[in-house]
Amino acid sequence: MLKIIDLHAEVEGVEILKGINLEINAGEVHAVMGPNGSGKSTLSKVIAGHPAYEVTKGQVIFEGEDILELEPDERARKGVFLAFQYPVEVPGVSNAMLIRQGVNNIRKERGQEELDPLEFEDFIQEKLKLVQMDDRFMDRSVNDGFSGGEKKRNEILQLAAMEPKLALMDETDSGLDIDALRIVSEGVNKIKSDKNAFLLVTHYQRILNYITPDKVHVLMGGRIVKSGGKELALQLEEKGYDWIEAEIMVNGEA
Amino acid sequence: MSETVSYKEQSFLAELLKGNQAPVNESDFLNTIRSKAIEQVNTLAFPTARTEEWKQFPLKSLTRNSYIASKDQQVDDQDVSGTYFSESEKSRIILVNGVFHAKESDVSGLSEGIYAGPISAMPAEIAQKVESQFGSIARYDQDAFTPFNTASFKDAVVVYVPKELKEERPLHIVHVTAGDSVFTSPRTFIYAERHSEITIVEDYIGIGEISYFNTAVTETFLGDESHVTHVKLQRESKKAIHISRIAALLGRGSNYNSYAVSIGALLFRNEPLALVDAENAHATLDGLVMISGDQVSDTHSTLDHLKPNCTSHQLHKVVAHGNAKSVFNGKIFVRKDSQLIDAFQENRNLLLSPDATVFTKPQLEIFADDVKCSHGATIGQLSEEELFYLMSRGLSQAQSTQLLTYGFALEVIENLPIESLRDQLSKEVDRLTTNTSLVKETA
Repeated sequence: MLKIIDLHAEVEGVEILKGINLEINAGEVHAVMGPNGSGKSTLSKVIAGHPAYEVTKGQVIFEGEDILELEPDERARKGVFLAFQYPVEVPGVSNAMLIRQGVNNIRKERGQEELDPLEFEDFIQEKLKLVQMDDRFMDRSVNDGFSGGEKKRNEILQLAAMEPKLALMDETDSGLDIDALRIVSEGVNKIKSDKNAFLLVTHYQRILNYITPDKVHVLMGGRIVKSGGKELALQLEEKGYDWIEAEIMVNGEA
Repeated sequence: MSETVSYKEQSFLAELLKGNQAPVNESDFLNTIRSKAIEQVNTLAFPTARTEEWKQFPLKSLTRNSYIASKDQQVDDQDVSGTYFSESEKSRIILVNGVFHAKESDVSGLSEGIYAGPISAMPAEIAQKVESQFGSIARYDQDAFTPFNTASFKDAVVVYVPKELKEERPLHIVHVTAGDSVFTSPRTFIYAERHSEITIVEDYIGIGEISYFNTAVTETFLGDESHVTHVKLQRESKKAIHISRIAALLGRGSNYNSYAVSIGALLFRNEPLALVDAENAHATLDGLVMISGDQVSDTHSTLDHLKPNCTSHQLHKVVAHGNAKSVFNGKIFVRKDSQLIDAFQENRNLLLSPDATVFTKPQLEIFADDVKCSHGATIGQLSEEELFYLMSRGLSQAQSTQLLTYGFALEVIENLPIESLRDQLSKEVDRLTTNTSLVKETA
């Protein structure tokens, strides 16, 4: 589904990603872990098309097509979704307005009927249940005055509504208490299928107790320095990132 | 040579007035105020490029044109009905070029005791009250535009609300201009008796893309504890020049909410004036300006706290696209003995194109010492983060811009007490943001 080849990206002239290679298939959950400043968040933003990052080299092949030249909305309509680390507050624009327009754009792209406001109301009800959100959130301005946990749940609500093929989750677990983390994770587990794929960017292993990854990658200094199964996450939790650094030094790759 | 030009500008309004024919057989009251006004037009100075208050307004665009006095005209219902909203089905007044159109107007839905019609037809007991205030609230002494209106209006609209009466239906007054190169002088007077309540929407439209010159004056007298909501909806032809004054005199404990929404006209000037001249009163002077192309918007407002224990609120929001230019100059006065005043003023500007410009000057002049006043101004563009967030949800750049602009304008729109009007205005946001220059940017 997604194949990243030798991806280099920079922001304001500083290179952050220095040659990422990664392949994700439908039905898989991948976790990208790494210390602060390693480039984890950048990776998810570059895949989604954030305009602040400039790709200097490499390819991002999604469903057989290089999407690097596409606008963020075109990528979204093809089935890429980014759950933000810091969801943006949009005063005056209701959740219902934003999500309905997004959903309808995506449905149109897929050749499905657009939903009128009433149909949308029915459609969103079950998605709201998934993240245990009250439907009064639909009439509120997007993320405006939401608590940290509410913002993250709202991201997963949008994820559920847009039904993406590839979901990028940028530190969704950060700032969540245990209950909210459980709700969010359960939501993701219900959305997960053999048709879609997830890329979880996270600093901590915690969320992986709830969402089991098929593969874990360690990102350091803009490169994936180690990949493994879910046990790698546990090792990182136990020993931190230093031992990997030491391992790289021994192999002379630093 | 230059002297000739300046002479012509100085006498611009006086020259226009010569072509005007005042209605015949007017009341003594009207005869008196007209002759005084004509005299003022002939003596008061016309602003020049050096007049501080008019510096940003291209008056030359006005004075280099010539205009003819407008005449009454028939208009097709379909040209006007686009402005109608269902809430005012039986509370609507139509004026064409300042002339009251009885046939197209219908005020049968208004409560008994309310008078809404031309000044010439008001009952004697109302006339006595109206005449005691008419012309004295629009205190704009610095130039001749207000007396020009007084000298040349045809049928002034009078709205009188008796005491204790709470009118549920909004009154819709549509000022229509028809005919190329005409000048018109819409005039309205609202008299709210004590403990009364009413909402009035004044709508300014032109038939077709014609150029004309409008001086509009509205005065509102608020009796003690009365509530008046006044919405001014300026959607003139995009070639028109519109100079407008909206003044209110507030009684004790009264509540005046003024919303000036401006979309149309090529050049326009709004001068809201609230005279808070009694205790425990509240005045709101909110504004929403949505302009594009070569439109110029100029708001010069005055909020005058003449008595203590009052509050005021002024939120002036501007969305500027294309080459449009917006000017905001908002003055708040708190007089020497006006203690315990709570005044809020903010001007927020959203620029949708690199060529749009904004001039802003919020001003506080406080002579009392125990007051709470805040003022400020912001000028900004849509943030990259907001745009990316919306686009990452599958919204195109145009849709994202539209939604964010709507969110910006909503803070004013949501306070308008008429649902159909709020709907009409959100469509105006769509129209503004989907215009051609935006498409060019994304291409």
